Amino acid sequence: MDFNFTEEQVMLREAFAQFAKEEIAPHAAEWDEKDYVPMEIVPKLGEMGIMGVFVPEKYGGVGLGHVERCIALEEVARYSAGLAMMVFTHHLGLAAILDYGTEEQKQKWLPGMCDGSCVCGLAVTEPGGGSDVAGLKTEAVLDGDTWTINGRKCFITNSHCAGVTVVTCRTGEDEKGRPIMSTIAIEAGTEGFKPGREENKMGLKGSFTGELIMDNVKVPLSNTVGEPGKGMPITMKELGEVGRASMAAIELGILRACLEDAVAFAKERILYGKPLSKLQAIQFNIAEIRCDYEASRLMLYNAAAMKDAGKVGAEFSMAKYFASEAAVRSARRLIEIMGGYGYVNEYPAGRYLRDAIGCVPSCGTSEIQKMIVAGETLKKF
Amino acid sequence: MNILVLIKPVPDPEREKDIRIDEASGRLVRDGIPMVIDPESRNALEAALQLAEKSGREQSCVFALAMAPEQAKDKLVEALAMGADEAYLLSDKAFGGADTYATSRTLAQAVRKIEEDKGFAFDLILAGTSSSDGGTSHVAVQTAEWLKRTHISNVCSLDVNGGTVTAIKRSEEVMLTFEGEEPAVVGVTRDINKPRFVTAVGIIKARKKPLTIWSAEEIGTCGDLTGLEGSPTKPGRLFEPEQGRAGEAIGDTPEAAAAEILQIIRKAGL
Amino acid sequence: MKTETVRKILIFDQGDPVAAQLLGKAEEVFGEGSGRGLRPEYIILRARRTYNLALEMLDKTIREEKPELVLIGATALGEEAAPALGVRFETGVAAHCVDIKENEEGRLTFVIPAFGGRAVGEIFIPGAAAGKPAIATVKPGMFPDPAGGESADEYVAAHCRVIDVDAMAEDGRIPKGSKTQGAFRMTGVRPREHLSGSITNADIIVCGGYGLGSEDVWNKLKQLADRLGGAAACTRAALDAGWGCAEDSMIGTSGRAVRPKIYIGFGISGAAHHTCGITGADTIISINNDKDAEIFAASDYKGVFDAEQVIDALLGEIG
Repeated sequence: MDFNFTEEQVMLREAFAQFAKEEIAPHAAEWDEKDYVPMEIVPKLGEMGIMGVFVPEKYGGVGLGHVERCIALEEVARYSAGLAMMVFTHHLGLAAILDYGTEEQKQKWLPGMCDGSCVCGLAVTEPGGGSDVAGLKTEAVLDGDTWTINGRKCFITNSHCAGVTVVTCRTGEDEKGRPIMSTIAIEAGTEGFKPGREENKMGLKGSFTGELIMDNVKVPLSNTVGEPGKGMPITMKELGEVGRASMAAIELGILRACLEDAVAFAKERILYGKPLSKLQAIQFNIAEIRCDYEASRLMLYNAAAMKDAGKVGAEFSMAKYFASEAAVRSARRLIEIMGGYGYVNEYPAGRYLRDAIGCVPSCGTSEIQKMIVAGETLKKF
Repeated sequence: MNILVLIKPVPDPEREKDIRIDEASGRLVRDGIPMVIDPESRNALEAALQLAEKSGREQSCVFALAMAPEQAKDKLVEALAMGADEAYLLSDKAFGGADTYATSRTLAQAVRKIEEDKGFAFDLILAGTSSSDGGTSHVAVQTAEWLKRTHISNVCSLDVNGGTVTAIKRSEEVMLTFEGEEPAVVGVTRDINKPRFVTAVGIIKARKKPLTIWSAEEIGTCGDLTGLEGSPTKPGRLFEPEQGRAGEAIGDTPEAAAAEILQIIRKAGL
Repeated sequence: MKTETVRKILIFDQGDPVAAQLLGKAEEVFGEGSGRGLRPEYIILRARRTYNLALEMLDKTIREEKPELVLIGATALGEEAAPALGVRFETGVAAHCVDIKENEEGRLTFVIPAFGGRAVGEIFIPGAAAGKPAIATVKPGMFPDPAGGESADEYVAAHCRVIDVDAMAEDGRIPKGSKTQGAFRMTGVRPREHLSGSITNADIIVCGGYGLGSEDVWNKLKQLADRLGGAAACTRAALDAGWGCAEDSMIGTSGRAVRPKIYIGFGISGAAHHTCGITGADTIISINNDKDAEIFAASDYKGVFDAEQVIDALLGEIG
């Protein structure tokens, strides 16, 4: 048993951390305040290898695994969870194409997605609900070799910047009347396909969240990602593994931000003639944050390593559930440690809390994660 | 164009304040402080990569050379990940305690060996001028002297055209332009460029690049020419700088402090 | 090397006051100030306009005059000449000395900043001898100008034999086209951009550290320096923060040593590699919101405040 990262993973983390410190950290507060999506940084993320870190080299990627992908997301989220949301959703859609797409699709789209010239998206949720698959209404009708798609997706990350979006569409019903879904890639600029409303979010700024409108969008059958009719298992697998791992990694980044800021503040701030860090009440809070961080870290990287080894179960759900709740707790603790400074926007503590809360429902609420964990647990024990 | 870059691993300068002197032994305690590539070494490597790219990356080579304990190997892997083609680490107990004279002598010996092995001479050797730990500004110049090559340090702008090296350095009041011929040794400063990031692809590529570790014997040097024994300067006691001043508190508020500061300035007759 | 064995000292004069400062220090250690009775011979090698000949002439002079000690200002030229001479004469070079003294055993002792100035260390050059001199560089301003109201040149003239390379080049004693082996040739000079408010001559220096926190505060600090008629300076950390501090305004082991009448430091933790550069200030005032900041131990006056608040208050007071 060995809980250490490899030398190469350590070096990779240092490289990503250096990049995040120089290119993300100085701007993160401004992106948040102005609700600005820094598209100019995407090619740099491509160059760093973050956009296509887990994509094989033959498609322009780095050829590493999900542990390394989580390292990248954690380092980005350390300074900007909002930007990390863009990267994670990009990975999500990209993973669907990588895992299920045709060779032709991979060659066409993956190189641009790796070098940062094309952001990818994945669109499932609709106004009628996200986790309630049966409630999805976006429909694709096949006529010869052409899909005609109509519908509306909402709360879609990268809605306004994705070059390619993988969209889950209802493409029929089985004999019991349950919907049959397919995943279809739609390129930006396709006639009838356009972003709608852009949401004004509480947190996770630095990435687009909004609507996608499909009004008689015509795409070729060859844009189907995976087998027609298999849309739901494909989407669920990517959300369940890539999605939840990503969310846990982003939450871990927030947790580390809370931890580092709490320690720095407690050491610097002088109260009653000595640093805050000497006060036991403060120490307890710091210990709690540390434990939340370490537990989340172990759960996430354990799950990621399991995925890289090809045997992941409910581990990502556990990691996602635990880390998202832990990030919210820790951000709140940080604010309490910092007192008035925690509440003013001059310091990022408030942003961490807003971002952490935003992470909870992404890729399945805590309740959904617990259902998944319970389901597996009841079978296994 | 063939360029060699001297890389110095140093304790992370951002953590310098954690370095302490152990009173009992008089030695420096730097436990837990990670080693990093000296910032100016990084600038030197970036300058080398840019020059190689300018003159045709495929026809050029950029090698990295360091003298350090074997644990510092990953710093050379990092240099390879940044873009160097091959790396050499000189690692031997015999090198311990070397001053700049012995260090540069050992480095020069390794340069000769690399050139002999490869069958070419480096057009340029680049290094940082002043490392964050020792900061003597000696090693680039002294390595050049051992190799009998022309040298310049404190260079903030560098270009090479047809064998002529043009360098600009800042003096106290002026910008000075210099010319020299290859093969030359150039010490750069931090304002010469912004070093590129190490990328994930770079790290993967570094896996396949050669990294050679040499002992004293392998480069054909020995105890009395290197390390502490080969050093004309010998270290004495180490101590924390004296800083004996009164440290009188001023003002109860920022405004009162400001008023007192102005008072002190006036008293000094300014 | 024992201090008493030093009979001849070569001092390199590049045209700034450092030569006189070095001579003053040498007098303190070896001369009348030392109570030794036997003053060593001082030779000044003057190359103020003949940059490209400097290293070669130093080389030649050491061969001919065989001094036991060579003192060189740690300027752009001196920093390069000293280590080159070290290799040529197979001898040790003590870089950026903060002190030169005789220790209790009578050995000539160089005190140099080590490990980024976190510590200072003594070093010895035991093998030094006539013609194989100990070499030391010293930052301009590290030692005081000689007292007594004499100008630097008068002081030098009164105490030393001068080898004037400039004059020799001008009247043809050094053939035209001579150049230094091994060094680059200087081919052009232009003034530097940031010359105004130079920290070398300023009576008041307002210095900012990483604790300023932002470019905005750094800009306020520059404004304050202007209003006080002083110069703005920075620490390495502030320079690296990328707020636009000029590199030539950096104080410390990797920057300059300064000797202003008043030094006011804002948001400076007081790492020794910075404080090494300000020990020559008459009065040091430090403002830092960390009451345990190390800088306070090196300060005459201290204020535990947020840097920006005090800068604002000062700007307000001055009006």
